[in-house]
Amino acid sequence: MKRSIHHRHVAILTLTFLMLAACTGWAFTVPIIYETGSTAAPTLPCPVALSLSQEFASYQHSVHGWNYHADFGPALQKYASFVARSVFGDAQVLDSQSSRPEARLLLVPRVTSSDLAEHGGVALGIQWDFKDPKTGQTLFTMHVQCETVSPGMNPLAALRRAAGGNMTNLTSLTIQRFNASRGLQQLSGH
Amino acid sequence: MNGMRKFYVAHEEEAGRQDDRHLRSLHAVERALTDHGFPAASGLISAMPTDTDCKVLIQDHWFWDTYWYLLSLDVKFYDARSGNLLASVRERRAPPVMRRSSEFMANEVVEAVFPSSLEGSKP
Repeated sequence: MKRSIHHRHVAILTLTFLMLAACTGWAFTVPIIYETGSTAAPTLPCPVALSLSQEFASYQHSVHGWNYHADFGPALQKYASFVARSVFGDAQVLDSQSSRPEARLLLVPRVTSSDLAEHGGVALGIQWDFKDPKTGQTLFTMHVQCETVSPGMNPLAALRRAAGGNMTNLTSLTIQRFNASRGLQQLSGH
Repeated sequence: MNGMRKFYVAHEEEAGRQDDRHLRSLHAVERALTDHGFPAASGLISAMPTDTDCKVLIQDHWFWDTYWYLLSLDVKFYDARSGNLLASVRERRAPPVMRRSSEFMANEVVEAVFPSSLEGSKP
């Protein structure tokens, strides 16, 4: 009984807080707790370069009305780098000045969709373009999207759990898709 | 639907479907098809190019609940020449925690109709 009253109080307080924040124009930032760990042996080893656009590297999602805001950028950078290293092993992240002449593929990810649903629903869609590093021509594309639902009484805590969980799920799904793709096996020379 | 190269996306009912929300659904389906390796265009049915292989008709139902969200997306794939229905998908997301953007839902629809596109594609 005590537990249910406690949860109800927390929910009411959070909702009141959110409504006050909405009225004053203050936005809550949903922290994205995402750790990639170390990579195992690459499955399709070949030298690749990873190009992260400014839009991708600093991607944000805002929910108007409820004043939620999530800064996906840092997590997406970690995600892209970890996926590239896990699958291809020798992956170098390019900045605007650098190039990598020996790279066999240039990987360019971009966000196609993002969602933060109140009460703990988070989704992300990523399009991966695999380009010829010399000509910039797109040789292959793959789309990966993932959603994670982690409902809870406290909307912010639920969103935090779902956001971190979704990045982890997206990472596993992307690596799984890359490894299973015959097109990528051919492009990487396997 | 093997061998279909050109897709054209339009609203099944065009009257009253020219506002931002309905155009967003239309472009989301067009973009999802293109991203999965099926070059697509979109617009009015009357403007469909004659060399279209697959006519894609959508019905989107938006709902207001403190904000506008896409409640359901129905997509039908027709052979543009014979008029035969080739595939039909209905996606509906009502609970708040399950609501997704039109882009996410459009991608789900395309991946349901073309599961082989999950392996990636050559543009």
